Amino acid sequence: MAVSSTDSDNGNKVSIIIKGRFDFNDHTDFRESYRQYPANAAYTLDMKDADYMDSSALGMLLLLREHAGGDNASIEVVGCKPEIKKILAIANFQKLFEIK
Amino acid sequence: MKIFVVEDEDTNALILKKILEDKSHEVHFAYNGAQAVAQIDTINPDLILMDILMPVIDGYQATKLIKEKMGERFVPIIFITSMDGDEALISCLENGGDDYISKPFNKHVLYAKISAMERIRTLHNTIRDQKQHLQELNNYNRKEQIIAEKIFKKVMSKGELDSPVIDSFHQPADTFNGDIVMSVNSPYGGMNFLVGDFTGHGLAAALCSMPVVQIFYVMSYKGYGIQDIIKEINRKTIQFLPKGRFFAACILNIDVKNHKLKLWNGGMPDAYFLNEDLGIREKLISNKVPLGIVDNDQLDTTLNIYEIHQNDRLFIYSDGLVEAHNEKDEMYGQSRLEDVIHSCHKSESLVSEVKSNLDQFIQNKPFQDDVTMLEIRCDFEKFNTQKDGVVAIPRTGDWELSLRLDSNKIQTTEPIPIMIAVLNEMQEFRNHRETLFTIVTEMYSNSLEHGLLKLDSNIKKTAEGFAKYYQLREEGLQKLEKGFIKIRFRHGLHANGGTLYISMEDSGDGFDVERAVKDMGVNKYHHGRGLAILQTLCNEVSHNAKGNEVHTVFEWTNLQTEH
Repeated sequence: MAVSSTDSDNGNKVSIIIKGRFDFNDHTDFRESYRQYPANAAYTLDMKDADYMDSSALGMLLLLREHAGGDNASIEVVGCKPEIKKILAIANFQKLFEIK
Repeated sequence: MKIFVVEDEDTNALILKKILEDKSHEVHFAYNGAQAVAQIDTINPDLILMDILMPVIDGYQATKLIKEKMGERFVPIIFITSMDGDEALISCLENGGDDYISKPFNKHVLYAKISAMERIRTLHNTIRDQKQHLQELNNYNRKEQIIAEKIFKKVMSKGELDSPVIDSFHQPADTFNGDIVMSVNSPYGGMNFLVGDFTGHGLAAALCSMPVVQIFYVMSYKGYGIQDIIKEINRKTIQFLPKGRFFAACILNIDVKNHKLKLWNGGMPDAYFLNEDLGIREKLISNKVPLGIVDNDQLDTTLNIYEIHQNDRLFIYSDGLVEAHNEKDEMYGQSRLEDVIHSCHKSESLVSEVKSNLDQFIQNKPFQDDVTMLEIRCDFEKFNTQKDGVVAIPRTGDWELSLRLDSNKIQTTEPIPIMIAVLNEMQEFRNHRETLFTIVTEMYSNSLEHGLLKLDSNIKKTAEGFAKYYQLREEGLQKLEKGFIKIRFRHGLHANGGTLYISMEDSGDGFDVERAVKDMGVNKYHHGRGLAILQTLCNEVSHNAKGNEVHTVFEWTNLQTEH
């Protein structure tokens, strides 16, 4: 599966792992990966095995942000490859997410 | 079931009648193939039992003719034969039959075969009905699409994409496009442009683009600045876009009179700002969050401001261009695009060069995403050439109008479009609207920038200073705590036009009027431009001695329509 998630600290820390292409086909899996966790959890999006993301994936990140409390969301995006970093930078998502 | 028995031997016919009627089937008879073909439409049976050897037309021939007549309808035909086994089956199928029954009849075999055929027939009819239903839906959908497309095209064609300074390309991945490209003349004597991309494509994306197009068109036409337009588009997209969808856009204004480019890029790929020889002056990178994501109070609407020179070029495109894939699954990419820019000659259209290079690259592979390109050539002479020719103007009386804007109003409103709207209510200026707009704008900018904000035009002497100036203006405006601008319009109508007197007074310290006028002759490109424009457009320009009051007189005449 391209999207999976694990949690620690009684579900207060959630790690979502993306592998391969991250695009619209992952829509359902991605949503399922965080739905069970509370809004105030600290989310980490592990992108080190993701090769590509498109604009619908950007939209999915926004949905996660919405789920995690919008402006109060705590979401880190880690391990991005340069191509993915570029896509995130074009949309200026560093203003909405913590990109490391 | 309605069963049609085609049999020339009475005995066989009677036996079949008995067997079939025992199971309550409705039985009809024909005594040769010709009769069967003639009656088939009137009887319209569910199943046919067909003898093979018959006078006039035999069973095989009759079957062929009946199947032709039935077309899409499935009426199973069971041959009555004295043969048995493989041979019977093969000859039955070869001659268009669906099954066979051998003489003498075993009624249980016949019942079984009839009910098997009934099952196939039901299945066939269901499929046929569904197919027809789908066909109808598809036709309906296609019709709707055609109408929607027509409306969409009309809405989208509101911009002036046929302007001589523009070259554009628009290739939708579907019939409908999630990309928008627009250009609209602004009454300030410049043009506003928008190249945008809704996430996704097809109908949903196209639907979203409609209100954006309307906002951009109407607000530009009315003379609102692009910051206000950006805010309004953002407000609207947040309202109607589902969460997770957004609108990436590059929105810009080219001010022909002041040779100024104002640009906002949220989520579109690097646009190119090129000089006359297509050297890259600047990559206009996206430094904002796309529209439809954060509320207006968090939205960064600061503009990047550049000075433009005659024949500079701008090239803006959607990500569908750089992300186009060929059959080897390679991406077109930005470096190929830059290669084309480097090799393009200044007489050539960049859009057509990139287009042919892209075609070569992707060969016959269909576009996966919408591809949009816009090229703007800053040939100032050719920018929005005003359309002359105006019909009779309703006469109104002479009128006067004055307003006073305090610092708070100056900060929070954009007074010029409001003033122009009011002026137009008072008097139909028609084709003088643009000139009037410029005059009012220049006067207002002078009062605000030099009077209230005390900015020094000399800063604008260098390209860096140019941007700096507008940054200072923005900062000054935010910090503005006191001061006012008083504006007075007085209009007098005469036989073939009228005279408009405009005065503006600001609470500033004024300036050395004599020196400014003298400077103007020396260097009219970098500063004091506002004054030069006023002198060109107005019949009279004068200041009070202190320099905090300016008076202009604008005479206008009612032009006749020329054909």
